[in-house]
Amino acid sequence: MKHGLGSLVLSWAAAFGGACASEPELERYCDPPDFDGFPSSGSEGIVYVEARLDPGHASDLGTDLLEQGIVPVTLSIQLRGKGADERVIRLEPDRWDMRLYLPDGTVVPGVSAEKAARKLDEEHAPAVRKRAFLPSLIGTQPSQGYLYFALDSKRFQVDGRALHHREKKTSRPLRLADSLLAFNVTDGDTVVPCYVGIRP
Amino acid sequence: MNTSPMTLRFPPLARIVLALPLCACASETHFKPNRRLLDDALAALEANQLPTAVQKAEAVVLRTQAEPGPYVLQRFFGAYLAAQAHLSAAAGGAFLEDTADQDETGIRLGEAAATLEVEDVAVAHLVAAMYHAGLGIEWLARAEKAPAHAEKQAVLPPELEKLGAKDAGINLLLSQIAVFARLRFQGRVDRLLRQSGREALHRFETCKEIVDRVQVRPWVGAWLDYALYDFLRGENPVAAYKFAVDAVARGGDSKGTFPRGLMNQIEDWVVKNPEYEWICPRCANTSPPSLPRCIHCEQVLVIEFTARKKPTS
Repeated sequence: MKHGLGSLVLSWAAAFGGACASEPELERYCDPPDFDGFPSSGSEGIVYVEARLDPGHASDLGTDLLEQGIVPVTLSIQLRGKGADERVIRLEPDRWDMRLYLPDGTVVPGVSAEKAARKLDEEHAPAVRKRAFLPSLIGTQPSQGYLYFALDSKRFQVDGRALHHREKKTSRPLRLADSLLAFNVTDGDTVVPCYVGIRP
Repeated sequence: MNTSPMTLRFPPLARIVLALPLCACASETHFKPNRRLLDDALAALEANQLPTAVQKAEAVVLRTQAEPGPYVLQRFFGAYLAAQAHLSAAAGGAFLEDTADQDETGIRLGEAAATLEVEDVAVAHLVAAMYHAGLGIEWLARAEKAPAHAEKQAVLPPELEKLGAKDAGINLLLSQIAVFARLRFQGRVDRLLRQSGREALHRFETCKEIVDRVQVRPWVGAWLDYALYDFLRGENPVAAYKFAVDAVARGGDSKGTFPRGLMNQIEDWVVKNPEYEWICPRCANTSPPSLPRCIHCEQVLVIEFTARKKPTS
């Protein structure tokens, strides 16, 4: 009886093992990780970029801009690697076209520091102007600063780092940090798009 | 004093037990409308009516978030269909509709896109596809265990039931890899391809079988080829070759999503490869990777060429 049971277990194991062996990789394959946003640093050629939805911006700027419908993103950009000392690559104010793609595809164009500051009281406006990112020639030392994106308060409700996009009768919950930042760099006469996530 | 008869008459556990069938009845009223929405979304996707497909699919995603049972499966496929519609839109089907209502506070796909470049709109669809693919992947494990029938009726359209949650999940993952590749997040692509259990993708034949089975959008296939070529070319150029040739073939037919410059780079890699040359097994000649068949004997497909090590100087 024992022998019989053992055989049964062995044959079951063999059959099960055989079934697994026929397609083991495909079986294991379907274990996708949760989406953890777009990478918040990366290179486009020799242009190295880091961006963050900065959780510490309120202490930096003296006010929580998200509560006022402005998304502040810190941007750091520099040239790295071969040719970084010689190449002339720049961010041109009229061509760099910064925009934030919210997770549901809504495109939010950037606003100037001046426009962002106008939405704030006079106490906090100077810091917002002073810490703004200024597009210019990209060097081997990082250029840093804040980019500002203004949300329509009728359509967007910010709750911590979560965002609700109201549309008709629905409210779509979004993780703001899963957004994608995009802008163009100018290399000679060529305009090259750069994409980077903003995960803190 | 207490106005609630339930509280007066039943202890807490009994209330939960009694409430279960009530919950089930309440939920069942939703499964049929959800099924209709999925039918409509699928029909719209197949008819290339992409805004409608997104709208119907997303209605399922948003209305069933907290519900149990078959709705888990319906919600998963709602996210799946919304992702597929956005992926299609990112290859020439963008929701370009004129509107004067544009400002600096957000341009919603489907509402407005006239001030955006076509590529910007395509990127917006890629981001939205990632959002829905991410939701689907988050719900996949529960969806695989969820019942496919309620009240003796299928909760999904037959096409989706046949595809199954597992293969739809693989579709979403492959689509994510392709989107990362298209947005040039090569590090993330490599990480996803390197994770354990992905070896089946690294062989052209098994990869093609998976891609065909899980029905990825056509342009996704081209970018997957590119991603795998780029991933393999350093450590295994022989395995990378077929992906390279297929990327060139599919890239030309991917509605402009695959830049010509990228195809030129791939062709250069094949033609000027320092280690290997690929020769026709019938006539032993080389051919450009952009041609379907051997330029000399016209018998053998270029993708079937064999690798020959170049002599070291």
